[in-house]
Amino acid sequence: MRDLRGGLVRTTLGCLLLAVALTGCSEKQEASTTLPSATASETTPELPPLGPADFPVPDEARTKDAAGAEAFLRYYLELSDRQQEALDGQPLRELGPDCLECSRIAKAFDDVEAEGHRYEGGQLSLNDVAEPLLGDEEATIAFTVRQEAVHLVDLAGNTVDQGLPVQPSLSSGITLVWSNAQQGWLVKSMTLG
Amino acid sequence: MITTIIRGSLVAGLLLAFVIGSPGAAQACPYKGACVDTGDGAVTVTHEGAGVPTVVGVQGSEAVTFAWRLLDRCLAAAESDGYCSPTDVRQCPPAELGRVVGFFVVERRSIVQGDYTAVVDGPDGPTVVDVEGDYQPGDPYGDWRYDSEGCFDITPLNPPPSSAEVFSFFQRLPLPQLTTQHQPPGDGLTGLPVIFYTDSPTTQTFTVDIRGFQVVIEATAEQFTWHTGDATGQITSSDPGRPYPEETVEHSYRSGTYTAHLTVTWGATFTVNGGTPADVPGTTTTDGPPVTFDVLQARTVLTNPYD
Repeated sequence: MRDLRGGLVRTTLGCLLLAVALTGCSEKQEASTTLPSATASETTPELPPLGPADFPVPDEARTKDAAGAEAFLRYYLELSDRQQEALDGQPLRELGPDCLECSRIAKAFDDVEAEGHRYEGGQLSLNDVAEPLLGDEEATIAFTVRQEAVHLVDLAGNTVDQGLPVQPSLSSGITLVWSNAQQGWLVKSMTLG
Repeated sequence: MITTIIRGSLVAGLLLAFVIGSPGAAQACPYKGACVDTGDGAVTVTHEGAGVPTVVGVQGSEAVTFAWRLLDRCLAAAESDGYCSPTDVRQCPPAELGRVVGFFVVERRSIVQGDYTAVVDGPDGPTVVDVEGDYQPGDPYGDWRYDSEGCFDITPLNPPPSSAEVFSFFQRLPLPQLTTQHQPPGDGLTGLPVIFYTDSPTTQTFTVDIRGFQVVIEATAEQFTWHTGDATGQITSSDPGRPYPEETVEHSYRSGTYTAHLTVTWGATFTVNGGTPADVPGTTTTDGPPVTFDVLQARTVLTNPYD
């Protein structure tokens, strides 16, 4: 048997559209005396790229307010986990060019890559985040973070460094500085534990 | 006589001290958090502890509201970037022997108080905040923040000897003055090169006490400069020479009387309390005693062996 459901739907939609059109024509419409407002056609300016192309800083982390600062903190910690897996420290440096601790961690990732080793464990997860202290161009955030047990292994999976046990609550902090050029936050200093 | 040569500039020396000499360089923490400076090597990036506020002149409630530390920016940069930029180097007046003076960045970090508040160095200055979460009184809160910088006498913190400090002791060690041996013994002959060598010891170990730390310095002769006493001036070798027939250092003279001596350039490695060996960032030289000999013109004489 022929399926008539498609034709029935099309017929119903056609009738509805016809009814809407006829209703519109039957009401009196005053001619518009104003031009469309210019703002109606404006588009939101595109933010310059920030962060790795395949893991950019999200838009909600690029607002110059407390929510944006906290979102950036969450992003940066996630990025550090991601770069630890990828053994590439450069994205951490680029988002914290003046941050010594960021550079130290980035170099550690690069060194582990150069030695042919890799990490097992060490992922970070936020426990508590205090309300960011916000200044004109800076934000300071205290937080605690859990770091899973971590150690280094070689290509064969043999442990080459005993590493660290799980750290359930590392008292930590980060200071961010706003970059007008990049339209986003950069890390000025960071302390993990 | 003992003379001293510092390798390169101060910057190069500091770099050498860290990049080559620091056990910390090889043992930099490879993990993200919970890294601590164990302080078991010859160089530490930071100095922390109850003595720091006194060293930097902080008193009263401020001393206990914050934790304090001294950061060697050059060493910290070397640890994080792999090198120490000249902009990270600051010079301090020379310290008296036995005192340790260095340029440090002073940083401080909030401490959770008994009423669960903390004074946070926020963007608009110190701000009292209520602390929530897992914190207990005495816990650190937030991140380390810049406070000031300058030259500080950190001797009261009992820092392990730096490579620069070990070098200053190395310069004062009674290193051997190597004796010049020459062949043929006595007078030499023109046309027959004079062989130089030394059979004096070319390594020596010293154990010194530097502010309570046991420092073992292993000195090694790295370069031998043979002052020939004639217009040639000097011959340099990396070995102590050998006697005939395995000679490696020799020199031909015209007839005359000559005085020769040997200058040895000493390098060294050191350990602190049995830790990882590190290079002493500089060399020192010793001059051995002079030897005087004549070089004679040999004259060919036809003789009858049957006379």
